[in-house]
Amino acid sequence: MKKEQKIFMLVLILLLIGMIMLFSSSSFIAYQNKNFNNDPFFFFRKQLIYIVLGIICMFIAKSIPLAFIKRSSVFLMLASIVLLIAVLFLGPEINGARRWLKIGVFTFQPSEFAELSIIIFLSSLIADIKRIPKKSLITSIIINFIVIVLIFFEPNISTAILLGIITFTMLMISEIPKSYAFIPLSALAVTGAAFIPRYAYAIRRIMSYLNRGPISPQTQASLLAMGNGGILGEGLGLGKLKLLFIPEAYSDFIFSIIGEELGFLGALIIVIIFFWLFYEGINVSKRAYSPFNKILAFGISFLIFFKALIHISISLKILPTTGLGLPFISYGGSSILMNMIAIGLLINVAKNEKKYA
Amino acid sequence: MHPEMMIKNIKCYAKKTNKKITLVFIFATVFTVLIVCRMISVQIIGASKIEQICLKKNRIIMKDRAERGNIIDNEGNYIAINIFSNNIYIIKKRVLNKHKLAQKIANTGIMSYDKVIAKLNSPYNYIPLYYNVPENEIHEIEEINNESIIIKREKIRYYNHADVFSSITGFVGIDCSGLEGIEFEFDNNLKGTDGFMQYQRKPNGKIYKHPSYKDKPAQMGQTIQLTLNSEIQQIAFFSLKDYVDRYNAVNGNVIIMEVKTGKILAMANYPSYDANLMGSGDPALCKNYSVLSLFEPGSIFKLITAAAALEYNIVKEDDYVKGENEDSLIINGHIIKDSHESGALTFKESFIESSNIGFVNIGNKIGKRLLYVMINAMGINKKVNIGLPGEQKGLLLNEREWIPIHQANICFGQGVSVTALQMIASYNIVANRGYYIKPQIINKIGDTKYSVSPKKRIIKKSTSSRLNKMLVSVVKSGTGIKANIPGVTIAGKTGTAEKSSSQGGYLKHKFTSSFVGYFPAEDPEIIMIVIIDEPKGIYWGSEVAAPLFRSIAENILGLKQYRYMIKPLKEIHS
Repeated sequence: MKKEQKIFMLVLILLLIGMIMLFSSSSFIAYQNKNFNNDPFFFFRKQLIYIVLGIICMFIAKSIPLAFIKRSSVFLMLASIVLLIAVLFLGPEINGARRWLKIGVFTFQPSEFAELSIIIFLSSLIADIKRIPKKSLITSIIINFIVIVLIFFEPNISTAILLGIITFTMLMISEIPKSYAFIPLSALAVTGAAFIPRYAYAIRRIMSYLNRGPISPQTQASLLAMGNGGILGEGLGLGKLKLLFIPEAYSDFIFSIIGEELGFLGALIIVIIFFWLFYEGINVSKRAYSPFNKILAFGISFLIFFKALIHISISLKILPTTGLGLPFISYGGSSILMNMIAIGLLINVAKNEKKYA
Repeated sequence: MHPEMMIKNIKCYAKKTNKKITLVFIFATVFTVLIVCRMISVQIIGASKIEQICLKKNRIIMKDRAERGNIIDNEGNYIAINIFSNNIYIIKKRVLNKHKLAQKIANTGIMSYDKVIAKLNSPYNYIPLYYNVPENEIHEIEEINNESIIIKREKIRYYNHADVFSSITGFVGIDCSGLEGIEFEFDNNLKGTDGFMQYQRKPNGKIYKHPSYKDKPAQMGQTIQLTLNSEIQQIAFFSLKDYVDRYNAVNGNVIIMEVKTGKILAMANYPSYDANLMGSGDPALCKNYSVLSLFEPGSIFKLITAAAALEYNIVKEDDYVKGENEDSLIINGHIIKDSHESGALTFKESFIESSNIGFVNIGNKIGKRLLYVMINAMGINKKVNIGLPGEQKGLLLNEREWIPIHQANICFGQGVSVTALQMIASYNIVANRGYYIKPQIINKIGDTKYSVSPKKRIIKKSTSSRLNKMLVSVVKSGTGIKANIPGVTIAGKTGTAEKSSSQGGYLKHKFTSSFVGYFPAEDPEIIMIVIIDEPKGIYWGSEVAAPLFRSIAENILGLKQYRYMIKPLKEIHS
C-alpha cells in the first residue's frame, strides 16, 4: 500500500470510530435536550456533513501545489489575525469565552484555522530561515506570537499553550539560532503571568492538579468511566459517563467514553492508530526533499498527535482539564475540516516526495 | 551555486533535521508509552481503587434523622410521641428589609413585630423563628412569599398530658436530645440510630444515586414503656394540685406503687410545667421532687424504729415505753416534746399516737448499732437507682458520729434526710411481708423487659405482720383516721416534720406534712406516699396529707381494676 493511501486509511478508521462513538455519546443528550430538537441524530448528522466536507477539502488540499501554499502562508497568517480579532468582537460569548464565529448556519472556530496557518507559516519561515534577513525573521516570529496571544485572549488558553509548544518545537528543529527559539515561549510565559488574575480559574485548575487537591468532577467521572470499562469495556452504547455526567462529553471527553465502552483494548487501538499515523507522518517528513515540505509534514503530524496525546492525558488525569478535542473523533466542525485539510497537505507532501526520490 | 553543491547542502540539511525529528519522535514515543502505562494502571490495575477515590471526593451524605422513640404508659397509652409541626425559619442573608418582613409576619398574628425583630437580630444566619404554627395560619405565612422564609414540616416531640407527666418524662431540646427525666436518662435508647442517604454529585452539580451506594435507613428509637398508669397518674396529679393550691404549699409529690411488683403507677409532682414548651418555663419547676428533693421524714420514719424494736425482740407491743409524767426529755440541751400531752403509753399506743418521747425511749433500748443497721437495711441512705436522673441518696450520719441527740432525733425521723421514693420503698417492705422490692418505673425498653432485681428479705414475716397491725390501728383510731375509707382496710402512718434550715436548727412554722399507707391491709396491693411541703395554716400530716391520701385512694378504688378491693357493705357492718 502506498504511504498516502495508508495515511488516508488510518484517518478513515479514526473517522469511522469517531462517528460511532459520537453517536453513542451524543444521542442521549440530543434526545433529552430541546435545544437539539430531541433528535438523537442531531450531532451525528452535523458531524457527518462536516466529514463529507472535510474529505472534499482533503482532496483539494492534496492537489494544491505546495509551492502555492508556501507562498500564501503570510496571507493565511493575516487572515488568521483578522478572524481572531473578529471573533473577539463579533463572536457570541459561550461559557465566558468568544471562540466561535457564526457564518450563516455554520459556526467556525478561527483558532483551528490559526493552528494550521501557524504551521504553514512556520514551515515556510523555517525553510527559508537562512535566506531571510534577521529583521523579517523577528517580525515573522512576532506575527506568530500575535496570533497566539489573540487565541489566548478568547480565552482559549489550552490552544494558546499548545501552539506555543508547537512553535517552540518547530523552531527547535530548524536551523534558527537557539536564542530566537526561546522568544515565543518566554513571551508566552510573560503574557501568561501578566494575566494570572484574569485567568485565575486556569491557574487554580493547574494548582489543584499539582496539589493532588480535589479532582474536578469531569476528571473524576472520566477516571471512573475508564476504570469502569476495564479491559474489554462495557460494550458499545452502554457507557454511563455520557449520560449527562459530563457536559459535552462527546467533545472534550470522548476518549473516556471510548475507554468505558470499548475498554482498555479499544482505547489502546485508538492510541496505536494515532501513533501509527504520527509514525507515517514522521516518515513522510523525513523523506521529504524540500525543507518546506519536511517541516510542514513534521508540523502537521506533530500537531495532530500532540493534540491527541493531550486529550488522552486529560482523560487519564495526567494533565489538568482543558477543552481540547480528540482529532477526527470529537465533535466539532472546524476541527474536522482543519484536520482533514492538514491530512490533505500531509498526503500532498507524501505524494510529492517520490518525484525527487 | 553549483547544483551538486546545492543537492549536497540540502542533503546535509535534511540529515541534520531528520536527526532532530527522530529525537522528537523518540520523545513522543516515550510519552505514548507512559500514557499506555497509565491506561493499564487506570483501567486494569487500579480500576476499583480509582473508583473509590473518585466516589469519595464528590460523595454527598445526607443524614436521615431517626425518629425518637415513644414513651408510653403501662397500658400502651402515649405519653410522649412525635408529631408533624410547621416550623418557620429565616435565612438572614436573604432578608432585604428587616422591618418590612417583621411587619408582614406581625400582620399574620403569630408573633409581635418586636419579637420578630429580636429574633432577626440573632448573630446566626439560619434563625428558627417560630415552632408549631397552626395549620390554618401557615397559609398566611406562605402568602408572604418572601424567599428568606423557610417553612419546614418537621417532626417534633409532643407530650400528651402537658404537665401531668413532665416531671418524669422531662423534655427534649431543639436538637431533639433529651434534657431532663426519662428523655435525658434514656436518651441513647430513645434517639435511635440516624441513617444516611448517599448521593454522588454530577459534574453539572446535580446529584444522583450511585448504583453501588447503599443507604442506611434511620432506625427509630426504642419505645420506652413506663410502669406509670395514665389514669392513676392523672388522679394523683390533679388531687395533689388541688391540695397544694388549697394549702398554699411550696410543692408536693405523690408516689403510688404496686406493692408486689414495685412498679410505680404514678409519680406526681406539683408545681409542674408543660414539657411541650421545651423547658422555657421556670427551671426551678422542672423538678421531680420524688427523687430529687430531700426532706426530714418525721413520724413516718418511726416505722423503721419500730421495725428494729420488733425484729430484734427488744420491745413488745404492750410494753410501756413512756412514763406517766414523762412530758419532755432533755438531751444534749435539746428539749424533746410530744405534739400533745398524754399519760403512760405502750409501744403500740405511742406508735398510734405518734409519741416522740416513747420512740426516743425505744431507740435507747435498741441501741444505736442495731438502729443504724435497720435504717440501712430498710433502704435509707442508699440510692434506689430507679433510673431517673439526679436521684438523691439522702443524708444520715454514721452511727459512730452519733451523739445522744442524734440518735434521739433519728428515732422519730428528724436529723435524717430521705427521698419520698426511699420512704415508700421501706414501707413497702412491711406491706410486702418483709421483702424489699426495688421500685421500678421502666417497664420495657423496646421489646426487652426491664430487669427486676429479685426481692430480698429484710425483716421477718412476723415482724411485718405485727407492724402491719400497728399501721392499721393508726388509720383506724390514731393520727391517720382521716385517711380511712369505709370498706377498705388501710394501713398507714402520718408524718409532720419540722423543716430544717440550711443554717442548722429548725425553721419555725415550716413543716413537711406526709402520709404513707397501703391497702387493702389484709393483702396489700397499692402503696402510696403523699408529701406536702410547707402547707400554710394547717400543717399536720393527719390533717393535710391523710385526707389527700384518702382522696386519691378513693379515686383509685373507683377504677374498674381495683374495685374488687372494696368489701361489700354487709361485711363492714357485721
